[in-house]
Amino acid sequence: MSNMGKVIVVTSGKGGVGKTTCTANLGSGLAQAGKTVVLVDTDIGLRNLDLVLGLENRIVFDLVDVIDGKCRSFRQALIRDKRFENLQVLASAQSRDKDAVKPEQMKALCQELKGAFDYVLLDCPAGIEMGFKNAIAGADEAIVVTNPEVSAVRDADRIVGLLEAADINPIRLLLNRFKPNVAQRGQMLSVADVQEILNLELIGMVPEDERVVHSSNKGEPAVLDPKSKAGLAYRQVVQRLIDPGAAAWAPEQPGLMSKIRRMFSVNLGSQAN
Amino acid sequence: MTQILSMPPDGVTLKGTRHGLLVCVREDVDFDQAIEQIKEKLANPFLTQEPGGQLDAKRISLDLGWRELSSDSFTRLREALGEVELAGVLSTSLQTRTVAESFGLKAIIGRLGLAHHQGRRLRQEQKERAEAEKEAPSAAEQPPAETPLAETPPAAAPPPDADQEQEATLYIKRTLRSGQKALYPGNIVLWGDLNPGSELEAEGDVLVLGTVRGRIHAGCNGNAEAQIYCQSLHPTVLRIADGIWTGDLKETGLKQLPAAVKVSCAKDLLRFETSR
Repeated sequence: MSNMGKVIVVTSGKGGVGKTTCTANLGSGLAQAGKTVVLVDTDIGLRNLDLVLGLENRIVFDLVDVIDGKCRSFRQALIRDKRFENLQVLASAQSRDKDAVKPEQMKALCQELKGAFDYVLLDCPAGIEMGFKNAIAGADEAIVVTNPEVSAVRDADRIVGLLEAADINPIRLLLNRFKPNVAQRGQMLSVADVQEILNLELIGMVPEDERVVHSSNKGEPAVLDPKSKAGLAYRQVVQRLIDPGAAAWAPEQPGLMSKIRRMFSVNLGSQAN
Repeated sequence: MTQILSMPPDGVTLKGTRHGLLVCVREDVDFDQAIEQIKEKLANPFLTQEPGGQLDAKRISLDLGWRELSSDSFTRLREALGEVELAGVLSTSLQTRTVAESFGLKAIIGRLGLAHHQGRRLRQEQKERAEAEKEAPSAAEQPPAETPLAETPPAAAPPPDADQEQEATLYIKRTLRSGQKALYPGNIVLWGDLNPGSELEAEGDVLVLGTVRGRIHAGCNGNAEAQIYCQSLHPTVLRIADGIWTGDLKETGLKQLPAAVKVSCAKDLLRFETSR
């Protein structure tokens, strides 16, 4: 039991908040830290994860092939990352849909994978339908990705309710595409505003960074870019994943004026709500 | 008594309804365990065998929530129930309803299980049992026929009077998140937040000890006497009987929101009183 890995589902409810980017970055970060990692793209029909890692042309077998038994074992379908030997990807099928897989089958696959790897990261599709149910079926833990927007927070709250009902614990929060100065001006939800609703353990806060989009398009995760602020934030999240007690995330200390401004902004924010 | 107040850890809860016994099966419980628990619960000697009664253990309805059952699992469930007759199935899952209908059963869209419904009748029975045990410590050893249940009105009796209704309270100690809804034919006490997108619906009063951002409907059966009390009310939709408030600060006569308020209903308008 002790050498069993952890299955962590990266989910959000709303689309476009950065689940796939997070999965790719956290996976690469964990691999860089010397862990054996497998990333599973459970978004059947809308395959993305391989692109973000720059591995599209290496796909021979996919998730549905593994589940249908079209390849000898899951190992045959795993794609090794360009940069790290200990990072593998199981791509999803592009020409099938979410009904091609059943929750019990995903559960069995996750059991197999966690026997062979330290971390199994599941990239969950948006929504709360079949794809979501499949993705969480085999998960032990969850990272809920959200943006500081009311719609993303509302959807995250719904997802957390469903994850709690499925006995997934711990559920941790990753606040993505955060703009500290905009939040300070009160034009965006602050960390406190988000936490007031979701009330989850915050595993990290990734600032908005144009480099992330660029690096995703190039197929090179931002976590490996030493100059990227987002990359730094992802590395902190990775540290917290490996050792939850160690590098507690500390918010930057605002000055006196910005503190006063923030007090007003929180009030304004809740009025507008 | 504590057992009644806290959330039951069981995956299966029984609820006495006008149409008979409703067995609520939580979705997060393993299916095999659920079957075992149903059998266990139905073997409870406090359930009467009176045909058509609220607690008739020989004819039950099932609340399966969003659990998706294949026809194989459904066959297993029916086999496990043995002689117990299934009156109908309550579920939010289309698949489960379709399967149930293919077995010739009545299937309705709905869900009560999430709120861990404890039927009013069942609660009253538990309370009386607890009181009787206090009076006679050896009550547990007496045969079922002599238990306090025999003294309670028969199952087909008219609904409990107003006093009893006020006592029936659902106690929830957690946060209700978006998409979660608690319905109860009595009062609701929520010790936690009511997040945006969640709902409370009670025939009686509603008391929320956390932050209110979700919707509340008190006195949902038309009881205009019902009241809502909350510690931190944010703009949302509150309803008491036919009165509706849609989050407009001006209508409340309060200086600001969020506020701690007691809300009552007069002539279809909600009245707000600060309670500090």
